[in-house]
Amino acid sequence: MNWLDEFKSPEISQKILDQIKEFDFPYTFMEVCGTHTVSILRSGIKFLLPKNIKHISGPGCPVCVTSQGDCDLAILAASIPNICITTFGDMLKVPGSKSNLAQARSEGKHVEVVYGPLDALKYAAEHPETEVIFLGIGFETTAPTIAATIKKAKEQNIDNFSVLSFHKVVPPALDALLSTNPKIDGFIYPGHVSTVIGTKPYRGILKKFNKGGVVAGFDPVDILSAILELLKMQKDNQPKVVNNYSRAVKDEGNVNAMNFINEVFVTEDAEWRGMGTIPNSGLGFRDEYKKFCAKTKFNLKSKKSPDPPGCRCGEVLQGLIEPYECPLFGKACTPIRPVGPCMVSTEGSCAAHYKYGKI
Amino acid sequence: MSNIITLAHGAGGRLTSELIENVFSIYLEKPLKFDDAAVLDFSGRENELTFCTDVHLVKPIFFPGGNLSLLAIYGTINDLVAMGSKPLYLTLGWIIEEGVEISLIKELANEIKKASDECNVKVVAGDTKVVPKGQGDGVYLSVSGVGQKKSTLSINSRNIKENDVFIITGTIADHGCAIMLAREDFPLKSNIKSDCACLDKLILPAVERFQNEIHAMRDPTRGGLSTVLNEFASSSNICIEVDEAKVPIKDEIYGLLDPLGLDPFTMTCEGKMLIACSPDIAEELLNMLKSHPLGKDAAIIGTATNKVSRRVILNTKIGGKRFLDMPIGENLPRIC
Ligand code: SF4
Repeated sequence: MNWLDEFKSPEISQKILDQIKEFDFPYTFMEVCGTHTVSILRSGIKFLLPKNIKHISGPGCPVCVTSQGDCDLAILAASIPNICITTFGDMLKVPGSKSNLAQARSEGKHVEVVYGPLDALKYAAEHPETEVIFLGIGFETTAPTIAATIKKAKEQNIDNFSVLSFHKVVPPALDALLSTNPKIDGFIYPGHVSTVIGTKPYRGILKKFNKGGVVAGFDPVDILSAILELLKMQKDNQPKVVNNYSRAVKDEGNVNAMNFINEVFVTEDAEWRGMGTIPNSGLGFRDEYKKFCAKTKFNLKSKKSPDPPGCRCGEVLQGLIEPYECPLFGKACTPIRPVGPCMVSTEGSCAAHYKYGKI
Repeated sequence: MSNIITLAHGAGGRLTSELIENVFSIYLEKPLKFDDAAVLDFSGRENELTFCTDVHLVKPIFFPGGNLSLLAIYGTINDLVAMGSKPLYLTLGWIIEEGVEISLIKELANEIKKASDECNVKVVAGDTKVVPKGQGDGVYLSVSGVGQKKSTLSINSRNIKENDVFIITGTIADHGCAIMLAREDFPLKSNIKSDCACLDKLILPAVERFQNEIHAMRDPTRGGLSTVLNEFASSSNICIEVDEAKVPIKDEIYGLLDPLGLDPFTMTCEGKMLIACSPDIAEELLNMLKSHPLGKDAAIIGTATNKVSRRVILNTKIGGKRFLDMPIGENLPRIC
């Protein structure tokens, strides 16, 4: 067996599950990463776990936590004459208060889907007559490439390129979550984000709240062994920060990537969909790079916009309710006509629960 | 929310089905059902005519393992074959954008000739329109096909019965991955090739031998295997249970899609058939398919049950159960 296959192995998964079943106390864990949410539902783990172990999904999908006001801002930017909005595909369907980018595109606004910020920069270089705005959505995982692209734009004097930064950083969100939801006993920390930030930021949270967690990969064996680890630390009453994903994550993270982020961006308060403003959880531009900030360049200001009536995304994102508990789930709100963003992105908790469901 | 056509309406998943059900079926006299070809009623004859039509566009026009012409000819033939019929005649409709080089059209025409000779079908009529530059995207090819089938055969998506067995004739997702990789702007490269192929020689001998023991067939093109399974489940009012571990997927495809967060079940195939047959003949049919090069990776992947009507349940590799749903919009890699 290939060493990577071991992380998908049904036999090993079954053995770990048997060990998990030996712990009989109630336990609630939250995974903070959308890719984990999808893996847990897609592999069927959620419904294989014994009843005493409750799994809740956190705010781990960057699309889901983008506020309605920020979506409105992106749609507004698309209507500025001579603007081309470039974005990752996931953002197209995220509802603003009245429309979304897919609809704006069908109405003739210039919206291009790109695979990465460098493609957007290339587009800008090839179309000097067009103002190209890239939507900077994502956590610490995407921020370094976007920062590197902005640096490149500066070096190459590409002036018709800017970024609408809606970036979010994860550790302040964990802090906010533990302050509102004391039911969380432990975290599966985000695997991709941890490759960039390492494990140190989690230690501060452990110290403050005495809640631990495990950095895990995305295959079934990774996730099940993280759950087993969480149960062991709960039993021993010794919460810790454990790195179970050392094949990708170093304790110090990716110093280079962090340098890119820190050179271009500076943390600022950010609005998270359904969770309100979380201090220092967003990324704004440092003065040296301000000319690439689309908000400054086009004088764009996010307006607060209330979530649609009945939408309980905020509670879903904080793990306070299960997606099924939202009265709109599967009725007024489906992936075809999403009311809230948790139903839009394939990594959104509601979409994943809708798609893979409870049988 | 949307009252307008978006790209997702053409992606072959849930929104395409909605468009067919809520728009086309209402305005067109005969509801367009989910089968790939129509059976034309000439009551009382030993043979019936089957008829189908399809529009093809692909970017890039030449891709690893195929090109627009092969896709169009093979695709039309496979639609006829899916009804158990022998393809006989084709007609072509070209929509060409002003500015396209004639050498490209020659090359495509030559590929059409090769493909139709290979499958022993005749191209009997055609039409060409040129649209002004900027109002098309290179070349679109529309192909209609006529075939002939025994009138005693009744292979269709409403015919699946409880305990029927599902066979896929080979690995899934190859074409979808090859096209994604061949796109100029896609950041990764690999050797994955499209599975674009004509299935008459694989399927028709099996139909001849097993006749009405084969209940339904469909080639999982846009929307992938999950779409066809869901359409089967809903047309026949049954539950389909599929074992994830039995579905053939190439390692390199898995390695590509897994990190991108894309589901192989929703990726297009262009040379595979999903067959629902009676359990009595399943093993024999499987062996027959396996003896042909195009069916060497064929596998039994699931059965029809009565657990949750009109849904597809996937038994996951690690022993869990979940629904396998239709894809909803355009298939795009996720952010991180
Ligand atoms: S079902 Fe829809 S409205 Fe309700 S929480 Fe989920 S995304 Fe929000």
